[in-house]
Amino acid sequence: MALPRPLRSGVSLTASEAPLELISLPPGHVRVWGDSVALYDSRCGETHVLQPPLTDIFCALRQGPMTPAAVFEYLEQRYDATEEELENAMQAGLSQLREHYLICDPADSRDA
Amino acid sequence: MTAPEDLRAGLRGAGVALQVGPFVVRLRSRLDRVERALALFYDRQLLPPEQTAFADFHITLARASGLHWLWRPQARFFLDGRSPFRPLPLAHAYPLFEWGLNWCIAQHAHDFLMIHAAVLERDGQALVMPGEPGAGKSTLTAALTLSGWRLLSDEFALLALKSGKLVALPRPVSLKNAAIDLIRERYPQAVIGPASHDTSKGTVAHLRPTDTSIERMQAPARPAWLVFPRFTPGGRDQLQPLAPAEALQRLIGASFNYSVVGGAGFEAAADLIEQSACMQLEYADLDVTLGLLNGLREGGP
Repeated sequence: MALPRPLRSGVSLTASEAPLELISLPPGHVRVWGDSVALYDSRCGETHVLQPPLTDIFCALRQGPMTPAAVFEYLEQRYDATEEELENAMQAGLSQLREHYLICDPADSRDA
Repeated sequence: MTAPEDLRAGLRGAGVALQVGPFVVRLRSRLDRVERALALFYDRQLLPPEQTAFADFHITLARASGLHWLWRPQARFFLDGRSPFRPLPLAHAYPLFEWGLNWCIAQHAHDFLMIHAAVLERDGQALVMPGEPGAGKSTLTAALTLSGWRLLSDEFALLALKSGKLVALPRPVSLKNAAIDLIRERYPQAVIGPASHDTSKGTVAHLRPTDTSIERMQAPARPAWLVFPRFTPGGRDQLQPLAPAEALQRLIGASFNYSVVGGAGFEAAADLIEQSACMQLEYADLDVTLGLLNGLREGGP
């Protein structure tokens, strides 16, 4: 059994290994323009413009449900940053996506 | 061509019908200044009576009732018999018609993403210029249309949600303050109506659209350039690329009905951006700026 990936001293992903999933968006409502992503959420009528590293997190999750550890690895391949910097950026990005209800936790969906 | 007496009889009777881009407007008025403005600006868009069974907007411009009309005569705008605005001084009756028609379209024409923007076309390619009041859109629009570009709109872009094309809404260009004399002096062929002073926008006078703009008003244009102008007196004239995401946010901010049309509006706006070169324009010198904008057609900047 693989051990949870340590991110920094005293921190692990054990508590948040559940895969994250983007809400379903029509293809026409998502536009990738270089480093930016523009998207329209028809549930609330809001338009969002994402910038890096949020764009990378969004693009990673667009490939399908992904655990935070997998998102971290995706970012690690793209950024020359310390693990702590990456983790902070990832957590901030995930928080923003959650705040705008752009990602859902499948576990939450099952509970609902 | 409608004879003056027929125009007067129509305006004072059942109303005259105007083809204004995709809309038919039926207008009634007993106000002489409205009649004169219509004869000057809309004579080529009057529809024969047999073609006027249907109209999108039924508008009446009339003197406001009440005792104060004796010392401060006012004009009132009615749509379908209801007056959505406060009356304005009688001298502003014609600008009131134009502003009121903007309101009618903005309230009802949700087959389009409506944008506060000028639109001009050349060789089938449209230049879209959104901008806040004071950004210099009307001055640029007047200069471009008097130097060979076709006018689709002075300040009201109609982006068709289904086709993604820009639909013409050719109406007189609203010139304000110093721009009136500037255009009059540079372009002796310009037909500019009487000035209305002390409006909410200062002194306003309207420029008659070119014949080509009216003759081709049923021809849409595909977007090619999205340029956000900003008048910077004393500054340097320059066109600079604008990131698509930034352009989208600005375009949405300039739209009248983005929140109404929902996802279709996002798709239309995003498609327009993907089909256009997006730029911001700082301009101080009209000649230099006209050179920059005309250069777009040759693939610049």
